[in-house]
Amino acid sequence: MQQLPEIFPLILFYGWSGILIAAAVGVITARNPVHSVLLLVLCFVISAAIWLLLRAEFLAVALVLVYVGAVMVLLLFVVMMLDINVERMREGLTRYAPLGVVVGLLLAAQLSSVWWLRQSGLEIAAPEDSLVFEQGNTQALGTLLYTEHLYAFEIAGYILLLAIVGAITLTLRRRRGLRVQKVSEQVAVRPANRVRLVRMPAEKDE
Amino acid sequence: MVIDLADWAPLYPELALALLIPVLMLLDLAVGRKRPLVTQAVCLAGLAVVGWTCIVAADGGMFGGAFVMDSLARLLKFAGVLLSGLAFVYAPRDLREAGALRGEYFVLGLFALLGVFVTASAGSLLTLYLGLELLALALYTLVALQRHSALAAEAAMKYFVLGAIGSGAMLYGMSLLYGLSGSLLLSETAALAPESVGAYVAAALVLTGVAFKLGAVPFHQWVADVYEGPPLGVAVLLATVPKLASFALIVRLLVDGISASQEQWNLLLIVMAVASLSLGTIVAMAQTQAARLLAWAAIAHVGFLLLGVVAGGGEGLSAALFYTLIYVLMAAGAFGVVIALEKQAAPLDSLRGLYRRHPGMAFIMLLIMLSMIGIPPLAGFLAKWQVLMVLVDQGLTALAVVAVVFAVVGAYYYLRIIRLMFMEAPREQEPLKPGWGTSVMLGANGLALVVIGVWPNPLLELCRAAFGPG
Repeated sequence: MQQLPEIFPLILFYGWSGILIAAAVGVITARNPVHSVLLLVLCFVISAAIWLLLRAEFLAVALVLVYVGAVMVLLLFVVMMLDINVERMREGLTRYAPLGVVVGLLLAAQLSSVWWLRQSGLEIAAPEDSLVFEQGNTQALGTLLYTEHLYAFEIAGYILLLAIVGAITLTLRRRRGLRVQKVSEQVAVRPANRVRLVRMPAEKDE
Repeated sequence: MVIDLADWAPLYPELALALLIPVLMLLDLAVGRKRPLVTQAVCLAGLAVVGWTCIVAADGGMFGGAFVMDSLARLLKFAGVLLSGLAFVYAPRDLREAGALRGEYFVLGLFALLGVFVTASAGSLLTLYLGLELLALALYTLVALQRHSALAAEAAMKYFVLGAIGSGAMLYGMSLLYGLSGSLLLSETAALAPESVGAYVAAALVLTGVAFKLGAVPFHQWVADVYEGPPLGVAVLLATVPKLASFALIVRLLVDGISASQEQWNLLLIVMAVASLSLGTIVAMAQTQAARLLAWAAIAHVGFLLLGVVAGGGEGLSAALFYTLIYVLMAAGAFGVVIALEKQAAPLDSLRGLYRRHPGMAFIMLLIMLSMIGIPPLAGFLAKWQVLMVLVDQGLTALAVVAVVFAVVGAYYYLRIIRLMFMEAPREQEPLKPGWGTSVMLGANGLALVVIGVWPNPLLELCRAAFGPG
């Protein structure tokens, strides 16, 4: 296989990152909430692409499947079904701006502390990734999950089962007076139950 | 690939229980909707099988040490099976009156038991946390089981929020441990250098989480409300089974996992133990609801068992284990009697004149109360004696004195119950009619306290064996 020039991934990375940032800004500035959600989908897809660039294909696939495939579709439904008062939400923009600035500064401080640590020459353990890159991380993850962590994996499965049982136990209720169709009764109905034949004289007696 | 079942011998109890849960769910769906007692019967039969697998399962580790089956795990698992069996027999009467008798009670109870199993034989931070979450999620749902009760909903909400905070603190501590040691295995985190700041913070956070799960002062605020809110049938499960997991948590995470910083957390543990003893004992005196009284008494008992852990070593831990086992047996019996008495949220007044209404039950309650005080020759005396002896042996005489003082003060509210039962006239005249299952189990429960008290060696030996040859 012909080796791609060194600069090529870099171009891809900066291109995608640019789109990602633009889309992220769009999410919070778009007037129409549906546009916001669609831009968020774009954010996720681009992030998945960047992960692919980092050879983390499992994360990329999971992100698209879980977030774009399930969570965002749900969010889109909610946004479309709820009548959100956009003007009311915009009022908060200036009120919460100071908080946003503080959070932003904190984030910047954190990021620069990482950069500073790198600069200070502290040795940071590199992940032992040769195996992961050799066989692809989907396979590596699968092998780990189903051998070393099989026990924990199965318990996690039971926790999910418990979550389903618990959620249904707490929310499924048969309320009285609920207007639902009882199909079995509808099918089993007989003419005599619904129609009453009344014998009437043809003419009214005086 | 051929799977040899013998390779899985240490995992038999978990496998059996994990099989029983879906079977019971499907059975409950098919026949249990109208007849929850069928579910109960099958559940108890299944538990008997699970108990048997606890005995026959082989010792050993699996999954690279993430799962450990040893004498401690075996004892805790067997006790868990026994206690949930007791709870499942006591509970239905109360649950039916509360309108919460559904098959899900048993299924969720089994989930909680599976959580205890996983915690008891956890060898890594990951399995430990997963076991605790399995237990906690099942308990949150159980507390909220009585849907139309505002009190139960409030209790469930408090339990859920505070439990989540506790889990969060512990998880943060665990993540630090993992980050510092680079390993999930508890045997390897133990080697962590104690003098680093990260290890201090991790130990403090982990200890906070453990104290939350135990309900030790100052992380005890949820206990009374959570015991009182749900039906007593749920409270009996809540007061007994999770205590076993908490003990496993102490041993696996504190004693094994962060043993390097023992000096530091032992000091915190002493403070917690004394605070739990004093606050639990004093506040319990002012209670008028049976469930709240037992809750505050539970906090005091937690303080006592923590003293055993403080004393440390094989001796101290086996004394604490013995104390835990005896305590949960007493708590199960006490809740069993209260359930057999009356409707929900029984005020202590309902115990009034119990002797006239049902002498047998009054006698069993008398045994349990005397055992809780620690009167020889009952099991509760030996449990306290063991802890005190170890404390004195370790030169912690001051702590032993404090423990004795509060044990004597605590006798007040147990004696008050005895006085109500035997010396007051009953408010209701009609005699009690507990089901035969409840009667038999309550009888066995009371008898066990006497038998263990008189002939404690087998259980003591098991407790000592759980902490190695030392």
